[in-house]
Amino acid sequence: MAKVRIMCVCGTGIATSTVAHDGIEKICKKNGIDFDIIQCKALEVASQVGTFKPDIIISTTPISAKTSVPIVSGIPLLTGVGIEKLEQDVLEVLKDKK
Amino acid sequence: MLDLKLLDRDLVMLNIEADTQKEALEKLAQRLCEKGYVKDTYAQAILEREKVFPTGLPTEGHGVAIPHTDVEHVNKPAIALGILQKPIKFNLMGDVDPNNQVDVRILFMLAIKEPHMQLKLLQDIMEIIQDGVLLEKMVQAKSVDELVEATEQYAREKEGVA
Repeated sequence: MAKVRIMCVCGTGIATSTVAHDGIEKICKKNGIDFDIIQCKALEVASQVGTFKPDIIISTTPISAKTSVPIVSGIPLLTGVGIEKLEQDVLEVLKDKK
Repeated sequence: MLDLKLLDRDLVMLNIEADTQKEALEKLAQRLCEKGYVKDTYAQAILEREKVFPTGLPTEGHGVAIPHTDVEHVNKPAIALGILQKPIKFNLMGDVDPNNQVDVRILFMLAIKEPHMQLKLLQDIMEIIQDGVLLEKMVQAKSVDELVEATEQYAREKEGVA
């Protein structure tokens, strides 16, 4: 079973993406998903997609870069509102990967 | 649970008079700058970042924004807390539609130096903003002491439950 590659994105790459990072880590562990996570700034998305090759992007900010990688909003990881839906969405994206 | 070590009482501002987002952000940023937590460039960086990556968050009660910016503008980590005299509109975080705004009364302005160090603090803030009763107490507080007491009481109750 390969590791899934998760990229957490926010405006600065250090604030809300850190909270998202922690939240998504918990979801992965709970669901027995083996993972690698990085965090980056929204402006770095295009270059990071090329080098890190994520399976999924969790973002707390709109991403302008065009990418074929599925993007899921990480706002529920911050506010707790809609967290179950986020978990379902993430598992749906990752179900073919793990 | 609530770690208030980064919440310097000198960085709590009540009753901020501001008509625009810019004014509100500048007043709080200036306080961080006066106290040496951030560099001169911080306020401008905050304003620019807020335009591109807004930080308004909808809550059960008073809207909250968590403006912050890149580490190079920060000397030492801190959090400034500002209560606005009247609500000011902020765009929603993560929302592409600029028409979706939230009326913000409470500003948590973050001076972030390293990501993981402040994870707990950010999580605490996220927990606070989900508690409409506490937000109301913060907005109604007549003094900094009263506001800090409300958050400390909240923390004690949380610990009691856990």
